[in-house]
Amino acid sequence: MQRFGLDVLRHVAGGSAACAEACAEAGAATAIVAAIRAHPDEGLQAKGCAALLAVAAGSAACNQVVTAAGGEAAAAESAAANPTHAVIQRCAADLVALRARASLAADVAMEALLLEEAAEKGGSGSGGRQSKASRKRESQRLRKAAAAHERELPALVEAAVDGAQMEAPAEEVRAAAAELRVLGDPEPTEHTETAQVAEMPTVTAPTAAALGLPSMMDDTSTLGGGTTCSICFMGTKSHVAVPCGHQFACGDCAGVLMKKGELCPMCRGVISVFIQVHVC
Amino acid sequence: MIRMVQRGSKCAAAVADAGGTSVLVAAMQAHAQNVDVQNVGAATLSRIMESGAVSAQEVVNEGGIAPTVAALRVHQSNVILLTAAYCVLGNIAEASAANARAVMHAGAALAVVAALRAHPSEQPRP
Repeated sequence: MQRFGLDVLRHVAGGSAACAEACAEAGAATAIVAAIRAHPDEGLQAKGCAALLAVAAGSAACNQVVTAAGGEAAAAESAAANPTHAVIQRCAADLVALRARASLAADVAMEALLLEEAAEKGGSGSGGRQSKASRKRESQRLRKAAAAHERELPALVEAAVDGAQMEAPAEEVRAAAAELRVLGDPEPTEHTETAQVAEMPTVTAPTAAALGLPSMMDDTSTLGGGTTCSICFMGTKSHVAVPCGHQFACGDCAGVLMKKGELCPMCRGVISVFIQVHVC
Repeated sequence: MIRMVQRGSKCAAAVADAGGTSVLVAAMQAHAQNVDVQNVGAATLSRIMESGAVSAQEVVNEGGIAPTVAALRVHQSNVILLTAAYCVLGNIAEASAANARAVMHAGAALAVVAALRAHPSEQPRP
């Protein structure tokens, strides 16, 4: 569920600098960092890193908030844990670059301020006047440079986030879409007719990647790294489809699939029957 | 309505053509405290947008942002409703920067952060 919230924050923060600042003020950075650290799932971590980047891109102040919340460190940890995930790697690197650029802009602005103060205190006489004018020119140049750095921040990160999205594997996108369809179903309740309609599990199952299968595993396996039902994410993945042999559903969801005569969501094969598996 | 929308994109388009979006938004506005109405309303809006029958801009024009953010804020204990609301707001904010600003102005940032903190689990149900 958290990944969808992270997605909302990423899109909202990307709306404008003011939006990113509003997100930063709302405590988005700490919430995103907590989500990244709490969930090892690489899909969620990628969304979290992208959201952090979107918030940090708002302004130098936003960047400071993200850094103070441990955003850069969390992204670095995520990048270390997922060395092959392009989006995470890109976001972690861009967060570092963004912080370095913001720091440079702050340094330049501070230097300009010091020069201005020195110019104000400059000596009298022609030599003093020349020195004062020279310092003022240098100060103006530095201020322009600092402003240019500030202006470059959002553009840099916008390009980075876009690039990261472009590089997202097609399989990941499909998996996310499948999960969205599954999780978008309203919660089953026992109160009203409408609630019962809302809670009907969708027949669209997530792909193997949505189940968090490690890349080194056999692609045909549907047990993978989790035993939770791939349809509702609530029951145990206790039923195996015959004849294809894919094990992806709990008893309730298997019953719904059979009733509707759906194909196996993993291989699109016809399902004759589901068999409950008892692992000893 | 959600049962019709679930049948496919053609049915979702028919629902949208018949003015389903405005009815959903009106229902969500009129029954802000009813979790079932909010639940079905957000899920149906999400599915209609996913099917392509209704664009994010049309949902914005119908006033869909405010009740969805309100549902996010009021019914924070219902994680499935939160997920559906996330989907609606995510689709809207993703469509354009103007939409993202509208979502932000509706108070979505605070509501989403509060919801993330209230439900640290990734699973829709503990």
